[in-house]
Amino acid sequence: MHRWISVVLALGLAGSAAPAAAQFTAAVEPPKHAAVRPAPVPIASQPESTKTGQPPTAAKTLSDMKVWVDSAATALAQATPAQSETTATAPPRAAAPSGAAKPGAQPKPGAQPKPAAPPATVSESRGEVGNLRNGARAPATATPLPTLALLGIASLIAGALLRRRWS
Amino acid sequence: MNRRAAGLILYAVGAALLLDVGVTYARGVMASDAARAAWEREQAHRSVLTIKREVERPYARTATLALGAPMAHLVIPAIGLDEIVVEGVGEDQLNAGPGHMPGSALPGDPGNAVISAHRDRHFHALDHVAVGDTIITTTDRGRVTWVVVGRHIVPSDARALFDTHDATLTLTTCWPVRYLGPAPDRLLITARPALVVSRAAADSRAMFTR
Repeated sequence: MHRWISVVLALGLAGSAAPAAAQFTAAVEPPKHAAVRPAPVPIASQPESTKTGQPPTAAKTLSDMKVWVDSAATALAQATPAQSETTATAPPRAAAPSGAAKPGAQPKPGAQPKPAAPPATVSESRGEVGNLRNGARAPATATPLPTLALLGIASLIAGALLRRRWS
Repeated sequence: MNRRAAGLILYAVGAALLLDVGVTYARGVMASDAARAAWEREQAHRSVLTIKREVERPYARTATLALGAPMAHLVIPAIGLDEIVVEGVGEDQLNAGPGHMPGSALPGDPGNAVISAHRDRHFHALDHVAVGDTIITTTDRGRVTWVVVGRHIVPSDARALFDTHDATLTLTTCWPVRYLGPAPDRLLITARPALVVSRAAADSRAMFTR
């Protein structure tokens, strides 16, 4: 009977190995992702078709749709001129970010880009945002699941060893 | 006999623990799928009128987001992360996906947008994100390409999050990522916008080139 249970558990663990891998990061090193790191540079100099990921020829196929979209986009652009256009910034320059903590900080050598210009309506509308409480702690993301999973596996193994010795 | 009983008890305890972990994980997967479906449904049914309403009342939506509601699409190409961010950082929300800290700015809005996730699930590879990597967020109001400008490791009880005047994105998770028991520290990834495309412009381009 217990052999049947062991087989089912083993099959279950083997079958769920891939999705369960994230549960065992405390014990199993996850696979290194391919180092495909796109250059963080922007994009202002790229053609429009590159930004949207579409071939340039596709832009010429819907002329009547273009008129309709342009009219809608123009109306929206007039409502918020600062938000309706693409904004690109200069390449990053080294500095510490202002949104993170200073104590214990271990900034890597890197870069800080010039942030995009905030919309003109910021000061008027900030009251609706509900400011982040300054000095807040990072949310509690600790989880006992990896520990529980390892304890469960250890219990199963210990139980199997005890029963084997007894029998 | 005692050994047999002890073995059976250990079997039962181990099975119960694994079952609990499995059920929690399965609930998280289902909640994540539901959040993605809701996000895609919401995006598919957007209209020009909706966009116009949001543009006329910028920054008004943050206060109306319900806990657990999908609020952004988060992509980190360097680590293959592609998740729907839900509102809230409670256990239920973090089980479903990365959570947006209530009260922090929406990604791309002026202010510090804080997104957190568990180190053993959605952010399990966050430690591989390096300065200079790009992060892409998409919300109702636009798509922002961010550049990582800093990595900070702070104690879990450190008061480490502050509001900012400019748009800032802060991703947090537990540190060390591979650690048994409650992790003592937090990893903070800070990013600044490099490219901002408003939703109206993005939609227009998408429709024009479709």
